[in-house]
Amino acid sequence: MTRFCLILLLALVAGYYGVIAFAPALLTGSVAGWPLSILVVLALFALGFAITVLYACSAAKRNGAAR
Amino acid sequence: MNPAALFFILFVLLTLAVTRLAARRQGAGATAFYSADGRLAGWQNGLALAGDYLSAAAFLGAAGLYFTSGYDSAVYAVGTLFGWPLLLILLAERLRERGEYTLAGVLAQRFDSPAVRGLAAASSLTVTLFYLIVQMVGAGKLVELLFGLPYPAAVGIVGALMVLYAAVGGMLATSWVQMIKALLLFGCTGALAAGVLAAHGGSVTALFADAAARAGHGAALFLPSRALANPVEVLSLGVGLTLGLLGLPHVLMRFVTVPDARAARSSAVWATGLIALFFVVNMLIGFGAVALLTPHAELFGPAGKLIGGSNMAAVQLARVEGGELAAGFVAAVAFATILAVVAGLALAGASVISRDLYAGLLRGSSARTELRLARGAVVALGALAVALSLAFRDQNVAFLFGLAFALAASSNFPLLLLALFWPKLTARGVIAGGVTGIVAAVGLIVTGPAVWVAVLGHKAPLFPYANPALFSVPLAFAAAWLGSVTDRAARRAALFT
Repeated sequence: MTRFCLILLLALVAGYYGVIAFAPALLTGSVAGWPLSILVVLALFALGFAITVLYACSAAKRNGAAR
Repeated sequence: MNPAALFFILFVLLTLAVTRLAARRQGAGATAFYSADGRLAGWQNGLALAGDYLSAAAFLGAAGLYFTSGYDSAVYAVGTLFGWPLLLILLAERLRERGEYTLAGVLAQRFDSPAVRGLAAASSLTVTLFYLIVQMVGAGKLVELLFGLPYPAAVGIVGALMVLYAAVGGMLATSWVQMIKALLLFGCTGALAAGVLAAHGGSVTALFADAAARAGHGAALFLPSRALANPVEVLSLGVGLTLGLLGLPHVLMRFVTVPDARAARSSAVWATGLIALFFVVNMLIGFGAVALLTPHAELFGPAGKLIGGSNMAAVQLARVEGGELAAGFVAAVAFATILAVVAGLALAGASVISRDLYAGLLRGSSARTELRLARGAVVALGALAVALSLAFRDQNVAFLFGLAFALAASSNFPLLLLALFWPKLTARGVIAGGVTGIVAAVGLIVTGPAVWVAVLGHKAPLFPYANPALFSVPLAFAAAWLGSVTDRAARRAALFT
């Protein structure tokens, strides 16, 4: 789980900055009145937090099993 | 009385009372002084971490960046936020398990080398001092602007309060101050964002449409500006923002204020959630400022710039939403924000001086002496920070912030990560990696546009990018690896053990 969370995090952040660096036009447009670029940022915030919770829960289970 | 001054005085009285209480409850010895006896709950430390990390730059600066450059501010927020889960996965629980709260302390558990300890202490102290100067200079200018106090008096007040919180109440008082500040900040920004939404009928899409219409360049408000047009610069910015957090001494030392690794994880979860929430709310404030301030011509000077500068966008927004009382409250919260951050920085710096340099490097000492020295170090650091803030009064110190982050990412982070995860790291590798990271980060920033052009006045920079992390971080890792694998003495020693 540690490796999965780490790879997912790095892929997300690298992907985002990759888009900003090389293809910012991909962020053009809107979905239901929301700018796509803003939706992407909000999704990243949510994913970052979700991965944090996922890792903390899995670590708690791992430690519980070890005991 | 000026409403801002009134709110600020109330905050100071409350936090000084808390400091007095904390000083009475604090355990004996330097470890209790720096770690709050490891008694904080996960959620408390998470709240304090948010309070420690969310500086005036994260609030006023980020809202101002939305106001002037739109989406660029969100690009900064993403990198900053993603540092938190990385901090949890890579460092938080391991630091707690080791019970060490400085980089030098972690390295000293593996390497009995004065050079390693000295290097780690120097790197941490430099990061802390640069960060502290930026905060103090910002505080002085903010107070000068908001309260009409002369700059030296403003800096003196910030320095004196910082020393009181940290030297008298230690980590326990500092944590409480940071928690109070975080709650105030969330209350204040939540109310501002609610005001923005109320002005748009509760509709976020109406806010975005209004902001785009007022900004004058339509939907381009929601795309990266020309300042982020260089791909290498953007990637380097991302690396620096994400990894810089993982080397900030005042953030790392907070993980020993909780009783165990489970609470350390809980702290990081709380901090990540709170900071993500803050970034969302601040985004509403930033775009709200674009939508609601633009029609108010009286808020702009003759050159069309917002009075007081773009950093005042949130304060001016409060003035538009709720008059002088609301503006005063936001100004006081901004000042409280700076106080909580500098108190954490003072403790981090003092821990390096008293624990790493004095007790660890120069000579061993009793716990009582170390505590006395810790308090003395806070006072000395406070005096030094005030003196340097006065010296840097008219300088553009923004580069110091970049330098602190670049050093944290390029020196502290690689050494910490390798010390925790790579058994083949040797003392020689630590020295090679640390020196390379420091030299690369400082050298590339000094020869880059932030110093070479903006401060030294040259026409073109020698190094073309403002953010060096994309180059300096891999260089530090490579040097640490090379220094370790070519360390014959360490290999010989391994053969005989």
